[in-house]
Amino acid sequence: MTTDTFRDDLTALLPRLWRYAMVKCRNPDRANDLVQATCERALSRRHQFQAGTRLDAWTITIMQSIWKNDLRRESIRRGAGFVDAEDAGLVDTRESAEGKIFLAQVLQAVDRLPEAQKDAVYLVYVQGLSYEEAANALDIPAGTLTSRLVRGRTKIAEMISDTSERERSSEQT
Amino acid sequence: MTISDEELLAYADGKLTPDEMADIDRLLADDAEARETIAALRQSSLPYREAAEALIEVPDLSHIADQIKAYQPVAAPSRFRRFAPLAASIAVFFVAGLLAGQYLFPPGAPKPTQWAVWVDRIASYQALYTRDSVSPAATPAARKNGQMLRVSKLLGTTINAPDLAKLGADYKYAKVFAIDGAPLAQIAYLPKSGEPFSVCLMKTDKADHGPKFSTSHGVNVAAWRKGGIAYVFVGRTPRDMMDRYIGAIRADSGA
Repeated sequence: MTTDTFRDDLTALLPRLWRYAMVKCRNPDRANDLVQATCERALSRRHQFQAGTRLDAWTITIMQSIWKNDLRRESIRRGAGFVDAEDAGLVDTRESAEGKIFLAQVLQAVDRLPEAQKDAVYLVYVQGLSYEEAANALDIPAGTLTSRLVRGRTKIAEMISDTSERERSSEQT
Repeated sequence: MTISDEELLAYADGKLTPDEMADIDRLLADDAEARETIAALRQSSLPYREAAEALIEVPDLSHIADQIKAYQPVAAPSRFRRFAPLAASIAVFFVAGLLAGQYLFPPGAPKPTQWAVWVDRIASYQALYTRDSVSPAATPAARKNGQMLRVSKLLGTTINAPDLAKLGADYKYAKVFAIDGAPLAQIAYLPKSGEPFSVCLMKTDKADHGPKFSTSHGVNVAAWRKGGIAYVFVGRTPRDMMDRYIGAIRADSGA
């Protein structure tokens, strides 16, 4: 991969990197910092990127590492780790009112998972990484990743089911 | 024989061959718990990507695209190891400055002081800034106060952001970096026109001195010490404006 192609591909990844950064940081300023730091590290280490492998998986691994080692503790210390998704601006309720209620429920359910399960679900089902790539990004064994996926999705099913039940109850009253 | 999590996921998501499905069906016949898990997994087979793309709004990221385009790759000589890593730094753009700093102080040159090396790093970091690097939106007073409280706590001394609004430069944010393990505060400002600039502060036990001006990495630098604080003004700021800003900073903080 030439330098220019690398830069072009990295630039094309920015929206996906930003969404994942937003899920992790829950604050636009800190998400911006995380994306900038990720891009700089990717550029400075591009010689380590193996041609023929996925740049998105490699870049997300870098972002995960920066988050884990540098930013997560700071973000939680500032209280950003305990903000409701809607309050954090993660879910656009204006859009929800215009027919995206179900998608908002899906995203909120993911967001309410414990961080380890949320990362697993997000990397596999939103970012489209393979189990192996997601496990590598999170620095965990593949078996741990699939376990987190099963537990996370089981909780999501419970949350979606509870929401549907509440909606049925309110319609009947 | 139990069914693995990977098999449960593949079964629920319909990713198995008919033969593999039949094998799992036989195991499920005697495993009520696994059947419940399969039901939950099927219920949670949801449009996750569509939800994220539809609902997590992406702002204008052209400033980061510009930084990617402008990034200058530099081959790191072996002496680089002496300077890396920057402990606890959350702004990895500092690393670019580290690399650049190796060329300002080539092997064989007189050894610079630690302070000179640090000032050079700060300049190299600031050299990456453009107007697009900082948000044009006004910073709420509450956020500014919170940031300054945090900076003061991390530096271990009270730091007040100099008020440069009267000279047309708005406070944008304050961050704390680590430079060789020592906390360094950066207060970023955006003037009405021209490039953003920063006022950086560190605690010091060195003697006071007045502003010393230099140019490094294409940005103008002024460094001075006063009352246990080392100040560095850095930016692509014309010298006449630097003098005005520095005068206001020194008047504002007794520096």
